[in-house]
Amino acid sequence: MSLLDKLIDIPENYIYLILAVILIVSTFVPIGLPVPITDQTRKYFNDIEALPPGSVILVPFDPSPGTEMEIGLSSHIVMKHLFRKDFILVFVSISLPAPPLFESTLKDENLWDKYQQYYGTRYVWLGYISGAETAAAALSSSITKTLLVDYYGNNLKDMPIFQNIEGAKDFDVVVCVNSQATLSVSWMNQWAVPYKLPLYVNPMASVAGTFWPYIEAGQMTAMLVGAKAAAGYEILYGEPGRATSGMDAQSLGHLYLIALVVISNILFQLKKSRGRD
Amino acid sequence: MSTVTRKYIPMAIMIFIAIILFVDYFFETPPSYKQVSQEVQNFNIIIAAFALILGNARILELQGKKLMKREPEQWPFSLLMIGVMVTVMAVGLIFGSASFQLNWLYATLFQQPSASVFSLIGWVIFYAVYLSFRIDNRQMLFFTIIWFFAMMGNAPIGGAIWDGFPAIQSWIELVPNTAATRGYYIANTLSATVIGFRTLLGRTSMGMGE
Amino acid sequence: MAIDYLTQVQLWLGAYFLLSSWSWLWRYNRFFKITETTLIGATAGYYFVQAVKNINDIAIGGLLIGRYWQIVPLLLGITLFFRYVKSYAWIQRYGFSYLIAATSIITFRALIVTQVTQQYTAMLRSISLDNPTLIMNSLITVVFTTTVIMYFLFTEKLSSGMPGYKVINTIGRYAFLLALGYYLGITVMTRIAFILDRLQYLFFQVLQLPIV
Repeated sequence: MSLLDKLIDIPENYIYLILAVILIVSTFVPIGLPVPITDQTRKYFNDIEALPPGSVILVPFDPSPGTEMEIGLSSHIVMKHLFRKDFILVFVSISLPAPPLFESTLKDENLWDKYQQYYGTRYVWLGYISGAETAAAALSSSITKTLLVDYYGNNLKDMPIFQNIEGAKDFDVVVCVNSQATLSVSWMNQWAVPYKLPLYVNPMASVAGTFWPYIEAGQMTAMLVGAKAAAGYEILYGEPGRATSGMDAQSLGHLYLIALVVISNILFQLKKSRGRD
Repeated sequence: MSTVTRKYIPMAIMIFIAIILFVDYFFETPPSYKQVSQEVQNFNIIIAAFALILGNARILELQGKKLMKREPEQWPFSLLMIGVMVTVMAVGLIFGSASFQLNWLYATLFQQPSASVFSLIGWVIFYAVYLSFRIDNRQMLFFTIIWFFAMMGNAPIGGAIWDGFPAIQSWIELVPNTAATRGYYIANTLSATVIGFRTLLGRTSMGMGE
Repeated sequence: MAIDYLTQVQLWLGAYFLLSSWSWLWRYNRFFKITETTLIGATAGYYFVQAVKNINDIAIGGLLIGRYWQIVPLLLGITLFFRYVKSYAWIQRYGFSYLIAATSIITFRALIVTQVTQQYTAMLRSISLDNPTLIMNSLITVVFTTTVIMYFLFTEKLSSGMPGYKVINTIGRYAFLLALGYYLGITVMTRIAFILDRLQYLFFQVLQLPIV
């Protein structure tokens, strides 16, 4: 086997090893590249900031454990922003991993005490509801007719928060914090579009491209795309954190991948030309 | 009689549900009708929960068989899987779903392995791209060029190298990508709707569980 | 004290799961299989707990306060388990037919509006002839949307006699390739983020290295 063939069919371990070195070094030796703030991030932040006190917000919390760095970080900063203002927040999930992640998010961001203080009057956590989009549809018609109790077993009809809230028609905004792509679309289909509610989503970068038709059609209002947007949001909020710290490693990882493609194609074309000779 | 109970009644259930839900969505209906439609949707939440439990039964069935047969190399793992599953179930039922004990088990045995296994996708994509992005025709060249501009526009370093990268990425995102994705959504939904109606009318038997 | 001990156990088990998962990159091995098996078992167990909670809170709770119609979903749900009774396995069709019908109709009725009519309207609204750039953008939008729809809906066998079919098919194919190439390009950030999350967990939580 010639050197060219060996390089073309290089064992994957070498590629992973170089990647590991790049990511580890960039984690400990930051370059400090500026993090651009996109229009969508600014719009998302400014719209939340402009909401009047007392706004009734549905906050679907539909995480997946492996996506902490992508959408978990944006969920943390958006939750902090929502709790900073005097909103009425109804938290719900149609994703199974939600309940413990919801509580750990609140505790990590020091929001647990405020959450417990105003629970039932300003905040409520309905927990996980099975059925995915059908659950979202059922809740949009009437929350109190679909569910009897909240996540902790408290009777919904006894809670002050549900004296004036029944279904989607009583809400002002939907903010999909930490939602997988298909579930964000479920909330769009069942809440935002039929009831004409502004919808804010936090998708992963990988699916953001598929959400642009919804943004353009006005079905979604703004989106916070992945770790990069979370970093921008942290800057706008005034508290740069974990999202900002990962950007240098991201940049070097991207450059490494491009280098791999260039090298792969050079070797491939060399092999093709030698084959013709 | 068996055809009626095995085929026509399930089909009748499907058509009945479909009519109730469609009429409620597209027409103005009286409050009593809306209440019926609400309960139809609420029922599905419960049945979906039973479907989740069916998954557990299936795991017990498959792994249980391997364990009983003492399948070489596999039976210890079947025992581990059933053991972990039963432990989490028991802790959840005894202490409650909001308990510290269940949350600890969740964070240790579900959240951590899940995130770690998920991260394998990140590694694998680098090798996959190295092997597959070899340009030998026009379509691959076009694909790679678009991929390159998307990457460089998205990474913070792209904007630092050249202002054009984010601008080009933004244009691709807003104009051709949005147009193509929209076309895909429309075609996909029309196709899926046709397949859905075929299922409702009994032209296909898929999804009935047998 | 006990909670600190449990947190330590959690951290070190997390480190084991992480390193054993990444050992798969070398080759498939028993350590990875242990992690994989644990994950599946824990997932199934946790899903069971949440499902039982939903049934208890909504259906059984409803029965206890006089909502007697909640017996219907309970019975339909139980029919799903008849797959394990050979001679009565057909009964599961009742539960599945309800599940499939309700789930698919609730989704389809919304998709027809959100993915077809509103998307088509948005395409038409985006057409602007104010300046050459907008004219070009509008042309690309209309052409790409239409050709991609036709590329997916009309197969070669049916449509090869249609005038201009080859051109429409080629443009549709390239338009969809553009969307896929773009999708793959921006997905790299997500994939690297998955790795970074685990690296940060390993270095800053397990090994307690100082955060830079």
